[in-house]
Amino acid sequence: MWRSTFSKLFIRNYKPTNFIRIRTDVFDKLLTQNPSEINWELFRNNLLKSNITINSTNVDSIIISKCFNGAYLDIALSYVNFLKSNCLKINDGTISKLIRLYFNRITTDGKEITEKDENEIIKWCNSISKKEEIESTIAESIIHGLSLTREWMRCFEYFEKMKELDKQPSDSTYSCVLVKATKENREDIMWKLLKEMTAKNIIPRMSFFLTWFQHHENDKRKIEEMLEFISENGLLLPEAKIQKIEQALRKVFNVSLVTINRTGKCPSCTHKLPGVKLLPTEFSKLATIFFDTILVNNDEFLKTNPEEIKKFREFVDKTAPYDSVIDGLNVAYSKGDKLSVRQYAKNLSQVVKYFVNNNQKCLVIGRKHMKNWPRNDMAYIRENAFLFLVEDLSHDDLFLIYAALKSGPKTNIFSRDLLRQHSHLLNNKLKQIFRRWQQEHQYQLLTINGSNRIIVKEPILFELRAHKVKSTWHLPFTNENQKLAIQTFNLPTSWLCLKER
Amino acid sequence: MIRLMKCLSQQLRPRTDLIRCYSVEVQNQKETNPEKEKKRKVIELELDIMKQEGRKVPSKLSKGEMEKLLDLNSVSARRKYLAFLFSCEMTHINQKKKKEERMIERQKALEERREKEKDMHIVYGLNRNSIFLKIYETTMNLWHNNKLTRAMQFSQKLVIDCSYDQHMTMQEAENCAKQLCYTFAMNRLHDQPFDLHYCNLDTVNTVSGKKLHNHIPTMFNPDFPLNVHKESFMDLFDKDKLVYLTPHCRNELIEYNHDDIYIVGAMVDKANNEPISLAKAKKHNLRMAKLPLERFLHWGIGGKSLAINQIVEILLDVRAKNDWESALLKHVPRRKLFKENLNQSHKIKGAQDFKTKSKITISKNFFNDNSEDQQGFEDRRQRSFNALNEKHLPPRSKERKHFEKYFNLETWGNQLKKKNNNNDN
Repeated sequence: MWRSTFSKLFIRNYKPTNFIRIRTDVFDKLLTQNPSEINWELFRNNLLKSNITINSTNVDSIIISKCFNGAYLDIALSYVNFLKSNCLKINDGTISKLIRLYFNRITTDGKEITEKDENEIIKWCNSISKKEEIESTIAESIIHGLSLTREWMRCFEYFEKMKELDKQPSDSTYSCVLVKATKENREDIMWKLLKEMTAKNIIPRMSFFLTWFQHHENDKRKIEEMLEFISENGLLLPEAKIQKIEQALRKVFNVSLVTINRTGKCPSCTHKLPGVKLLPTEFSKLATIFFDTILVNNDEFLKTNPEEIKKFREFVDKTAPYDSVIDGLNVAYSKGDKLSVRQYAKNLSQVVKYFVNNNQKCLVIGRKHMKNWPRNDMAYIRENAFLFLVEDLSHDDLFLIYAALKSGPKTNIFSRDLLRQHSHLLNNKLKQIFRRWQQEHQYQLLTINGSNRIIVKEPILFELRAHKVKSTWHLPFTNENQKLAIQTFNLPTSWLCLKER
Repeated sequence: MIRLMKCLSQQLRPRTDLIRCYSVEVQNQKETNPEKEKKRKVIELELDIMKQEGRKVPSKLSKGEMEKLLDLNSVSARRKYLAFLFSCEMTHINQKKKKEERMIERQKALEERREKEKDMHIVYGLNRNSIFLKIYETTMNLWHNNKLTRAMQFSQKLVIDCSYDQHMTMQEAENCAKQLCYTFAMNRLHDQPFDLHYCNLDTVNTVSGKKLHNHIPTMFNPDFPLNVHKESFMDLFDKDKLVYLTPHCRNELIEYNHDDIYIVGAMVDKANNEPISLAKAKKHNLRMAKLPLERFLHWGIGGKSLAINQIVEILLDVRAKNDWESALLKHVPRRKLFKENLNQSHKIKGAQDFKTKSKITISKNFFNDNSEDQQGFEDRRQRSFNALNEKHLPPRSKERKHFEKYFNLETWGNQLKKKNNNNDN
């Protein structure tokens, strides 16, 4: 012990050395040069000396991967020529990077591939695919490369190989094959792949949809097929590509770019957007799933206890249906959770009053410690609404959802909680159904003002995904990110209104 | 008492099992499973390509690391683990380098000191002259262990429930094992240790149990002062006395009861936030309590989760001093607290704690008793030094000043002085 404490005296000037990081300024200078003038031998040797993590096995692929930003294919090719002329072995990792670079270059250019490039890519692909065992990243690169060429049907061999390796292909891997299948008019293959992807919960890239719309510019039936696919999966397209899509669809539809506010009226076609329609079987399925699998299944003590479940089931069977179900504590704490008990009770009773004035029958769900709240407020709540108090240590959200779903498709919920943690546990299809139900039925308390009037945020009463009414399509866009997204509760920032010609 | 007798009888017998208790045998299992063999090949190929692509991969893998890789199912998980191993390797290389540098520095300092010794009359300093008898580490160990054996007879019991292995990821389980190890160590060092009981501990099938056994290989020796049970605490103790400490309940533990048996759940929950320990306490119908973290501390941004050893340390201090505030302030990491709102007294307290923790902890009273003597001693030393140098000493760094309270370290050859000499010349 003594020795260790004294040795601390000497470590005073401790400075971690960071000689692992690769310096980027070396490469910045390189990329601006003319590829024929670069002295590769000097550059390579300097790089090998500069850093202990760079060695002869990975130096080639590091140099090529630095060309990715901006797709400097000519520089990479000149380096490969240098390697060939010096009889240095080019390993598989480097070749796979080179194929990716070809792919990046050609897709960013947007031009047709030249025959020379095509032959080169096939040659590189063949050189790394000879071995029996293949690695998953290499298989993905080969798929990317082959999807540009005439031998694109060979991609499916590598999909099979990836299945054997237990690795899921990425969305860009699928999308590049989808794009090629579209261009070659092989719809059977394309739809098969799309089905496979939706089963695995992979969303195709925007490039695929764009090529589909551009390729079938004049074919209205095919465009509608794709719009139906988008609508079924609740996809939102990125706003950055809106103009290109507008141009592609112009030949078949009367396209207009609009923004739709909360009223749900389209300013272009003056139609009102339709509401969310869910089947009654879907409701009962959701309700049972919430209660049996999420609340009870793995450990009923985790979120509640067995007696309580029994009691609540009986209670709901006796008192349902309701017009709305209120999350009592969420409402009470809506002005902050450091107020007096009297204020909480007042908040809740005001909300109940609002529903009573609207002649609605409601259920309030709370916790047992609410019994200690001021008596007259609680008495008012008891008299004018059904009240169910769960144990202090139970989750009240799930009781809220169960009661609302059980009592029928017209029941609303009143809570500020977006219930994300519960919807997260559902499978993909049910999650969408739940989201759509929630979007139309969740009321949120905004504030209670000085004169005890409550201000409520009402739900959006129309579909937030692509849909068709009377031969007119409405297509939503978001500005949230570059990739395709699954619909959220927010209003889409802009819509395309597609009227029939 | 019975246990003590057992220990004594065991110790008097000639020991045969002690010889190999410090090394954990690694079983040499040959891979016969064809599926695993196939996966091993896939992983080796993957490693090759990753090396070629310039990803972060360690230069070599040990057997255990390969075994862990085989357990990971997705490519990204493997990549993350390999990157972690890579960073470990790099720190190892860095440390080695630094160690060599330090060796050279130390050698230089030693030589310098030797030269100085030639001129001087007497050299004082720790490894030259001391009025204290050296206390050996074995003596200290025996004393600490004796404390624990006494605690096992008379002290309050504390249960650690190690049944949460299935709810943790591999990394969390390993962290948990380390924390359990610290828990034992911190309890041992305390003046009034608990009688620790590790319940539900399976050292064969669980990750955390295996790792804990790795950390403490002598855990199952009869004279090792720790109670390890495979059984649940429900079978071992009186149910009315048990109190489960779980952060998810609403009852705060303000009055520390010296008769209760508290249970701490050995779970590291970085990923899942489910109230599993609460469910367990509910199922067994036990009393529940949580530490009064919000009542006594002003928390900053971030989680309020504490390590197992920190909780046990807090309980140890509360039991000894019956003061929640000081115990919490001492053992809750200061980065988790809200800094600006801590009042002045807290600040000073905390600062002192921090200092004493990182530096040597010696009670000041010891020196205050001989303060006059020391003053004289220092004066004499100062005079002899001035006579030697006849120059001003350079301003000292903060760390030095702190040490000067206890020792005068001027005899140790230091670079600053040398530099000063050179400059003046």
